Amino acid sequence: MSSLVLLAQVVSGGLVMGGLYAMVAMGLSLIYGVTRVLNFAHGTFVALAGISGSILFSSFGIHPVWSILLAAAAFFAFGFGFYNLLLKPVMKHDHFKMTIGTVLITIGAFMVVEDLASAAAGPVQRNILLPSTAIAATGGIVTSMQLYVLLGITAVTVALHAFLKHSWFGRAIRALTQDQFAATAYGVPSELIRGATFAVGTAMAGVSGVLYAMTLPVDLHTGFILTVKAFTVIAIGGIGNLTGTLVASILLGVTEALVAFYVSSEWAPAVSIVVLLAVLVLSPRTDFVTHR
Amino acid sequence: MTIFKMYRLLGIVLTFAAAVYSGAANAKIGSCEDPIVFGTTISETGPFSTLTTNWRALTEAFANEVNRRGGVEVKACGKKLPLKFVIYDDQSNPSTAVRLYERLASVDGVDFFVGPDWTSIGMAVSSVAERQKIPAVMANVGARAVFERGMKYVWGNAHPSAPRWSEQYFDMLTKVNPRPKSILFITHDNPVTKELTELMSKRAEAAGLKVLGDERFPGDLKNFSAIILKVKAAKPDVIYISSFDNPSVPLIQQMRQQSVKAMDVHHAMLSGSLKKQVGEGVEGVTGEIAWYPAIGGTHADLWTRTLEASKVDLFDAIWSVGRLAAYDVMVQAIERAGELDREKVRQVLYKGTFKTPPGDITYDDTGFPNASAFTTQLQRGKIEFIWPPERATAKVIWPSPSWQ
Repeated sequence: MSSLVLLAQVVSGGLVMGGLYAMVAMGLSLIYGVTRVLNFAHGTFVALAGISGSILFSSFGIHPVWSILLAAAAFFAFGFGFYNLLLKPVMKHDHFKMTIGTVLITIGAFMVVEDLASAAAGPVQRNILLPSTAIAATGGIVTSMQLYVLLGITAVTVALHAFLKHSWFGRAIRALTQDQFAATAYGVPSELIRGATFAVGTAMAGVSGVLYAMTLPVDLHTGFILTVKAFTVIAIGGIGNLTGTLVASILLGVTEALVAFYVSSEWAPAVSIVVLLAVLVLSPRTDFVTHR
Repeated sequence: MTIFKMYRLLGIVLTFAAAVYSGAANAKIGSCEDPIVFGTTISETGPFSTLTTNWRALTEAFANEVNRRGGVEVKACGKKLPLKFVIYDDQSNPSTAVRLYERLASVDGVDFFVGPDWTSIGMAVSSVAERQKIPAVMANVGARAVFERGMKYVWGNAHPSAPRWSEQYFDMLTKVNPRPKSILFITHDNPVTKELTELMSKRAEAAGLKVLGDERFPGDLKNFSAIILKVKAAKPDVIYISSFDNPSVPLIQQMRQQSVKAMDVHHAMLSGSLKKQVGEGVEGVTGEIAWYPAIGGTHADLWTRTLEASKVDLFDAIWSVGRLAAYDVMVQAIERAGELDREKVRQVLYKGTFKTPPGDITYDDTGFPNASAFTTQLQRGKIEFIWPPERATAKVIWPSPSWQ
């Protein structure tokens, strides 16, 4: 195997991982951009969706495409309820209390969901094992499953982009992301939009969970790691900037893959933390409120 | 304070003291009138809980089976005494385990410790056994580092023990045709598995195999693409996975998806749990198992009935052998000592040899065990014993067709 082919394989694997990180980070970015809630349970919602998709597939034979649609609907409803019942009451307080309150609520949700789901689904890792073969046309570099997942990620990203750009709801979200005060003054129903945005972001977590489980096994402990990676991506790409999020995710995925191959797999998980620290130290612009 | 109040206060104090005394008296350590009490913890929750399914039932079934046979023979008492366990969940956590063993010693007043499992927990708990001077026959604690600290009250039970792991497998590799020329290790970053790779690398070289490398991975790694690419580039004849079963599930799944080829893929801890999670992808993989009821041996009847009563399948829960061996060894040590004196039992355990169905367990002067295992292969979804040939239930399929 030539070194160029090896490099191409490493990069293609990194692209898929980057795409998955983008899916997770886009939901989190949307939520923070509009509601200013740092949702520490976001990755756990991703893991929960992946485990649910895996159980639906292995126990009931439900194809992951249906699971994606189911997860989108179920997590949208869950997210809407979560925001209105738990987070909205805290939003009425001053900035300090609101920040502390929302952080505690989402960390609490992360712990409760992790424990409940662990008790219900067991401690084993789960995935959605569809038949997958190396695609000959690519010289065996890409597997059919990687291709399906990449297609899924692209479709969701394009749909989200179109939704944010062309729908009234999307424009309202962008207006709130850029200037909450002005948007409200111009008649944007901010409370409704905040709740709905939290729901859309959570639905994104649901969709990415099923796609993740089609690629890699997932357990509930995966959730927090994904949250950290999503925060890293947002720090690099900028809040509310979908293109930035996508580019940052792919950079992270490919860098991790290169480190795993050329250094050691043991060091790959450290990449996101090192990048996050480097960005925060070296780039004063990146402060979690970069609006584009 | 009136006289009445003083008497009332004295009454309360005396009642409390009596309650404390009666609690301690319940234990009556070394008594010929009470059951012998073994104290243990099981990792029923936490990361190791996947390896301990039905172990509480297994432990209780062992006591029931011993008691059904009359109990444990104690010569000094002139009779057989019933056996009883006090069991707690250590939550797979060393500090929780330490707290619980302190409780077993001081509150429950157990006679002996049997357990815990896993190197990280065994390392922590061994200091409790030493401090309390209570002999502990631990289960599934296999890293030599635990025992090389001058301990006097601690013995291990790993099946197989690290130096004898894959003994039969490497013997097989020198006799199969075509003979493999190279091997590559993929190692879970854990003290036991790292020690295993270190020992097996030497064994591989002694068997004439060229060691092409050792790829290490953290236990929570899900994406094995980089490791698999390196394996494919190295083209080893044998891939040796030195890992616990759960962390290597995605590795084997991704090796199949990436069409990895080799004469054989060997998993040092091939188990039913791995088979359930990976599915057909694990077909043809070779592994090790310390014992199975079909093999028979000394005390096989006791073990088999215990396993049946607790509905534990040794292939699904390979670590159960270490548990049963710990209980069996402690019972034998008491019977051989002929009394419940902890010092006498300790002397029997020191450098002792004990009969168990998988074979004799001999402890060295540090308490480190010496136990071997059989080589297995998954053939048509069923576990088969393939080496040594005289104990085999099927012939080895070589090279493994599923990895061609």
